[in-house]
Amino acid sequence: MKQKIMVATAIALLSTAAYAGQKTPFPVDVDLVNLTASGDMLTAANARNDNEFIGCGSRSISDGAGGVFRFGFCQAEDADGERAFCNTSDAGLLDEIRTVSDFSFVTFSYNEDGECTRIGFSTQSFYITRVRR
Amino acid sequence: MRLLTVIAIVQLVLLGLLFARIVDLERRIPDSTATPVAVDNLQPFDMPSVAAGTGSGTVDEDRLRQIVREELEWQFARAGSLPSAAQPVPQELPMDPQMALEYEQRREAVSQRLDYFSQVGRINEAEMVQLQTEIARLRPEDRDEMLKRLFRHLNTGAIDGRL
Repeated sequence: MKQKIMVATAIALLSTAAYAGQKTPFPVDVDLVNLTASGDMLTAANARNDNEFIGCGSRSISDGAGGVFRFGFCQAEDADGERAFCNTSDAGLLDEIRTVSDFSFVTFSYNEDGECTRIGFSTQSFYITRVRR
Repeated sequence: MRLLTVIAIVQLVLLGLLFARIVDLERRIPDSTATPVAVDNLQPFDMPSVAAGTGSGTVDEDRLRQIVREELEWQFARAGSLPSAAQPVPQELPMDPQMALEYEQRREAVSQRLDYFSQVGRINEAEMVQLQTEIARLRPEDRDEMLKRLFRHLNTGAIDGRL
């Protein structure tokens, strides 16, 4: 019996080690006063509510006349149901959108017209709060 | 025998002249292609001085661009719509009345769809894709206006939807 307890304790300690490391989950927060939104995608995806999400993307659409209309966007909703949306055709911001990755922390700002004024991503280990096996 | 000799001599002389002519022509051909023709005092192509002008010469690329630019400016001036320094150059050439009407109807249709979605209060994924496709077919300034309206509605909650 004593031996079984020791084995179980050892397994428990080993599994704890697998989850070690700094963790800084960042739930989605939409600030409707300052017109900003932030949050990490993994925490949003694992949230215990149906509202939370955050992300950015881009669209390239034929204009029907031989050209292509490109724009980027970011969107977020926090646990309270507050939402933020912005779009951009700015080449620099479109370049930034291309740098997003699966586990990124996302932050963006926008103006009253819904135009993105700031887009940022940060991909760091402490945003990865759950190891999937 | 004597006659044959004379004929042979005449033939030799003619061959010599022909050869000299060929050499002269070969010397002239590279000269004409290597020397750019000066194009001064440009005027529209339908004016006599240009129409009768420098057909045999070549014009370098920059000069050619300038000619095209000046020709377009002249056409604008003749149509009474020469863009001045204070007036920005239009993005597109003026449309004929029928095309302008069709475009205005297309723009109005997008505007009405935006109004419709804000009245209904939501837009689904397929409708969002369709709306974006219609917005893409507008002029840049109209795209900006429609996107602003769409994103304002999304931000105020007048339209419930996602991109």
